[in-house]
Amino acid sequence: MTDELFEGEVFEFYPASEEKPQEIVEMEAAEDTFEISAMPEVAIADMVPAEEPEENAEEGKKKKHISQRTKNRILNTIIHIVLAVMCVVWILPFIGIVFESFRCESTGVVGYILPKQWGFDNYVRLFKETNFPRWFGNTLMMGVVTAVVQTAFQLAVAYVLSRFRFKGRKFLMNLILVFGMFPGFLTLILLYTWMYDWHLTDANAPYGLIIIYVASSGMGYYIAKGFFDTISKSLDEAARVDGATRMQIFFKLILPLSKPIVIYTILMGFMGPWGDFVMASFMANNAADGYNVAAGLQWLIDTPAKKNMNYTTFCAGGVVVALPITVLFLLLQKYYVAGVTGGAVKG
Amino acid sequence: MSKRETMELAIGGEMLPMRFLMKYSYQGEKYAAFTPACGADPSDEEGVALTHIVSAETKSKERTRQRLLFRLLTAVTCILCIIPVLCVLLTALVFVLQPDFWWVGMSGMIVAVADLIVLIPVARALARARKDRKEQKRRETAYEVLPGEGNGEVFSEFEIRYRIIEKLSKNEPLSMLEYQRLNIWRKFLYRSKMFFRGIPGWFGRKFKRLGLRLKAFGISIWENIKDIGATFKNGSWKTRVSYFFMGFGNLSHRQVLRGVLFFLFEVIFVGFMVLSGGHWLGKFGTLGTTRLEKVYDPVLDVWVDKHIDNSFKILLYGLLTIFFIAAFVYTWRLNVKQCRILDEITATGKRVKSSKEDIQSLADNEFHKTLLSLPVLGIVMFTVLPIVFMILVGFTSYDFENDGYNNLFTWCGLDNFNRVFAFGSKLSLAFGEILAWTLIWAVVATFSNYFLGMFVAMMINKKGIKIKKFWRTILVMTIAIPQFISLLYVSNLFADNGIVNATLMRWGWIDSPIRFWGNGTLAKVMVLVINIWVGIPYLMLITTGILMNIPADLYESAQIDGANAFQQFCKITMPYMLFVTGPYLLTSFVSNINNFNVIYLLTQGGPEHTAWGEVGGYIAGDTTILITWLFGITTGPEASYKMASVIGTLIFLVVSILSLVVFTIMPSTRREEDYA
Repeated sequence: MTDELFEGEVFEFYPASEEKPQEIVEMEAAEDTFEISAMPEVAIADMVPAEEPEENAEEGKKKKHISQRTKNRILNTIIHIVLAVMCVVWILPFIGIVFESFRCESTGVVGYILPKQWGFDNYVRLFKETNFPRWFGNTLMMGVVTAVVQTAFQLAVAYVLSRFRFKGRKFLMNLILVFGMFPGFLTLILLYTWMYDWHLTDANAPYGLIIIYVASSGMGYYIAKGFFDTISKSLDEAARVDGATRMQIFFKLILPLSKPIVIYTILMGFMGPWGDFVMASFMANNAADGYNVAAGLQWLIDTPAKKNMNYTTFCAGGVVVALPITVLFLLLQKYYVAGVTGGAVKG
Repeated sequence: MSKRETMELAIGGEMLPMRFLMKYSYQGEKYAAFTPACGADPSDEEGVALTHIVSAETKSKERTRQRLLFRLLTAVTCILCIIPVLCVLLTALVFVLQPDFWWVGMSGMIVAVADLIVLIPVARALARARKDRKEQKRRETAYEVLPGEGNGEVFSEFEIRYRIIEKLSKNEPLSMLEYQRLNIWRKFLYRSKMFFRGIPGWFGRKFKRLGLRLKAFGISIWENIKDIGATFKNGSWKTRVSYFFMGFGNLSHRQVLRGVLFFLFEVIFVGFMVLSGGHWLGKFGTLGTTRLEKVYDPVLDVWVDKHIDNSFKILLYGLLTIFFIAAFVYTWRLNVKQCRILDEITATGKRVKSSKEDIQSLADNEFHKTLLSLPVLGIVMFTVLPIVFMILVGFTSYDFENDGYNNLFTWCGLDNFNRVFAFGSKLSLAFGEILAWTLIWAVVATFSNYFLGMFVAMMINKKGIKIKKFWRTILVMTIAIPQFISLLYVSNLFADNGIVNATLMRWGWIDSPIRFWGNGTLAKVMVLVINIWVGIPYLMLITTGILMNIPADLYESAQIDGANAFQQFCKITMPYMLFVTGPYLLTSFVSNINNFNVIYLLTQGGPEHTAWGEVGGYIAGDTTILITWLFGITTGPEASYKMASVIGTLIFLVVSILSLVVFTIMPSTRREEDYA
């Protein structure tokens, strides 16, 4: 992985070992004896004497120096241990899922991690006996279509709100802000009825879901707008002077400059349907053909009896789903970080 | 900061920004003020405000006061230190000797805790007072023998404090420098005082602005009507015809595209209104009057449903019709306006824009219309309309039984809201507790993630830590895996027969499984802890970037001034982070209030609450937050849509009010120049 963001200089939280409060006290004491007239007019930073401390302080300094370094080393060791423990805690459940997916001796929830009998039974069952291929296909289709259309919508809204000043702009932004605060599920029942009228529920749920995901996606324009805001407007003006239309500016100038955010938006759009469980299960309404992977896999274990039968199959499904997304995510991690950081800073 | 440095600042400092002075002034112990003669900007009110001369007389008075204060504080601290010891002894005695009187012990404990809480500010004040005294003595020997050195006046800590206390007691606003002198607790008090004192004025301003807006709105409507009338009176016959046949004016001026679009819109609108819109709108007031009937069909020999009215459809399509009418009125007005403009253009003999030019401008100056058309249409149709619809449902009697098809539903005013707020009923009890837990959940989840995530980011970023990339990748990887997989697995991990319990039992640490999801309090704690597990990688990513953006010279100067790591964190890192991530904190708070996944996938609202059990056809448990409750009610067997709508509306109210308050007191909106 190549995250430029983390490369180079590293933020330093703890003071370096050379500078100690002790020293500064001495410096301050020494400074008080200076005469004002003797001081040149320079910035404060330059005035802090960087010279070696007094001879008589040498002994004490050395002692302190060593202890400081030891302290630092102990601290670093502790942090390494903490980080290692954290990594284990964070990664263990995923390793657990993988182990569960290879367990053959039973299918329910068990009290141990390592399988007693290894094999691919669960995967075979997942693809042969459940609708998983269908669910996977549904989700893949939803992911691709949503990614494309959502990116187009979000970038369009973000670009307009960042660059155009027109009547009703403030109104539109406030509208999106206010309606964004309503819990989304509120509209579940209406959307279901609506989609039902158009025969886009149950087995056709993926198509209805695409419409629902995509239609309101313009509301998530914030991160892209924050990014567009950072691109200098003088670029636009220069292009205008050269006779480019606004459309040309958008497609030929701004979009190529916004590669990270475009990729971030695509990534988010693609990953959305894989994790959406509420909408998907509600829209599909017990028609197993219309589920996405989240709804489908959850449906496999939604009662205790089914859980006892299908738990390992569920884990196998989880592995199959998580693997491609994780790989994709790690490959595009740089862009994800850029998007997330930009979004947090801009709000 | 030494006096000499201060002088330097002042002498070379004509152009030095105030925040630079501030940074130095409030970190150093000595406090310098600048007279205009000294070179600081005389118009700078902070500097001038602090320049006052305290006579020797008042000085000695203050010294006495200071001594008294110090002694008083010492005495109070001693007493406060002794009380908790006594309380704990008493509690221990009571619990050992008289377990029946446990409440005495408990109140002893509470007193001890309260006492400790009081002790903290007192001890801080004492420490300050001690420092003041020392400072005072040093000043007297160090500076007062050298009167008038340079032109700067030097004030003791105490003099400044006295002034601040005076100002506080008179309720005067403090200057920024003075505000910085307050301790954290005082700062908080001052800020909250200012906030609450500002509320009436704030509301006054808002109402005034609202009034002005309404007035402006009324005026603009009146202007529009006048304009429509004037256009009809003064316009050409083409314009007058376009009042009835939209687009006629455009067509006659050879703007074919616009004319055709206007006319088409009118045709569609009239057709819709005649065919169905009028029908829906007519029934909108009652939401239907004739019920479903079973009618015998003699041809097929079966009973068929003869449904006359469907309240749901009436409500939905009635609303849609209203939206459509609004759109039509707007378009019609646009049409009239364009006719007037066309009249004016032709009167001056200029050429009107052709259709080709129209299309070209849609790619250029009007490009925003092209870009916005589809997304905004989507937002209006799939967000605005449904939400308005569902809010309206809260004022009807729509539920599983009265579903609009088998049984009609109708308007019922504020009945549903009254049910939620009816004091003492099961529903209002449930609502109150769920709301409280939702808020606790949102606050704890947001801040625990925030601080721990930042902590982890700092640990990884620390100099001397190896394989930074590895740690980060491991954590980031967990973001990629869909939550429903990891959360469902974790939920099973802690199940009664899950791995954790089984392992603990195998090791012999426990005899019977810990019921992580069976005990209300434990489930709440577990949900919060697992949420930390979910949230840390994300926060780690965000904070890493921002932490690296903090200017390194801030830390350098802090180190030179002798700040230790903790002080640097409190005075530099935290304010900077809070400033930059303020908006993010707010959004993440809102999304935590609506955090469905974590709660639902882990506990499904989790262990049944004994006090109310089943509410609204859904078992609302201990970990249920408003959003899962809403989901449960919507999809539950009773499907009380009206209550779901009421709860949704209330969630919106809570969220929007909180956001408003937070926005008002957030540092990002207050002190923007500090880190600019």
